[in-house]
Amino acid sequence: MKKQKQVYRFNLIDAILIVLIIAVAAAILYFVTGDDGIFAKAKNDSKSKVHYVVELKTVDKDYLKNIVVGDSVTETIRSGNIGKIIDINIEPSWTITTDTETGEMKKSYYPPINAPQTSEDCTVEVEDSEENGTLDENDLETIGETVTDENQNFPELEYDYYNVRLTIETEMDYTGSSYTVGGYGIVVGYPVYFRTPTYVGSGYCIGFDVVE
Amino acid sequence: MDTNVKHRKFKFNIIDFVIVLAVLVVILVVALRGGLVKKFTEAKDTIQYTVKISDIQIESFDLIEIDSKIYCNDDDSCLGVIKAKTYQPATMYTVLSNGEIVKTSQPGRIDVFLTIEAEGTVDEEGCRINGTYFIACGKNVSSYIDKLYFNFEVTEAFKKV
Repeated sequence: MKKQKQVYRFNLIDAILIVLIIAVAAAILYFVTGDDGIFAKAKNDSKSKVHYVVELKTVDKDYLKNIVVGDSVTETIRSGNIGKIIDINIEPSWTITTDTETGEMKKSYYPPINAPQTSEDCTVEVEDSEENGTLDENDLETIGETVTDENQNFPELEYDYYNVRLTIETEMDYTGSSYTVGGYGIVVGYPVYFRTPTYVGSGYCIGFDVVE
Repeated sequence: MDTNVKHRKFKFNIIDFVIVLAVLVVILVVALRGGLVKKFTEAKDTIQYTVKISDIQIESFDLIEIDSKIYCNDDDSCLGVIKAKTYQPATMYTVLSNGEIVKTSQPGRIDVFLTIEAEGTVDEEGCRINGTYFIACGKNVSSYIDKLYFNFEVTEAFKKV
């Protein structure tokens, strides 16, 4: 009896099988190599601890309470964790302006919301303690607690906006040319778009220090 | 010509087993990594948040109605219901000729402050409207109501108790 040779033909089942095998391979790869994948801890052993500073410009004073030391920081484009806040520094917000008469450029602060307009604004008159009809400096109640040497009393100034510097600590990979965290490159000069559980913001990285 | 149609008897073989297994693995991974399990097990919270709409014309204030729904312009999802509204003159900063910055207000323009309530989830990662849309102080959102389009900035968000 003559044996008939079977001709191989690529069919639908083969195509489904190939697609499925690729899908399973991709899924397994994603599952084990992600930021919280089962090999993440092992990968952490080869990382460097880095402190970097992100500067936020012109942050509303009412938002400051939402930026908290210890909060985790998530990069908003790919939703990867990029560290946690370990320090916060604030200063009144300022910008560079030009005196158009002299051409001089200078650092100008936004006006404080509780700035004294006149010397009378700095003090509040109270009843004459000596009951002699005249008021002296002891009869002036201060606003705030700061007292200058000249006995002029100014309240602690409060502003609408502040510049905020966040120091963020994280473990980073060094690729040979740059430092990355979760595939997200961070270097001085790069913009950082981030969120914490209670704040969303963006700023530029202005400092970078490899600690360990 | 053979007119007899032979019906092949189905037998579960190794190929079928591999396909079923692969499909199950894909479903499992998607469910775990995509947060589907978490989504179905999370409790619903009421999120209350306040927003600021900067520098709009004063006539627009009357177009904002209490109890009207507010929508996200990106995906048309509902971001909640407006519960309260107030306004104040729109502030701006002007640089004088000597370089000094002064605070002033714009005539006919206002900053509007809304209180909005929405269903969602609140956990250690923050507030998510409908369990997916993250909001927190400082977030800028392009949105609309039935008669007005505007951008707002979230000024505060928390779980209503």
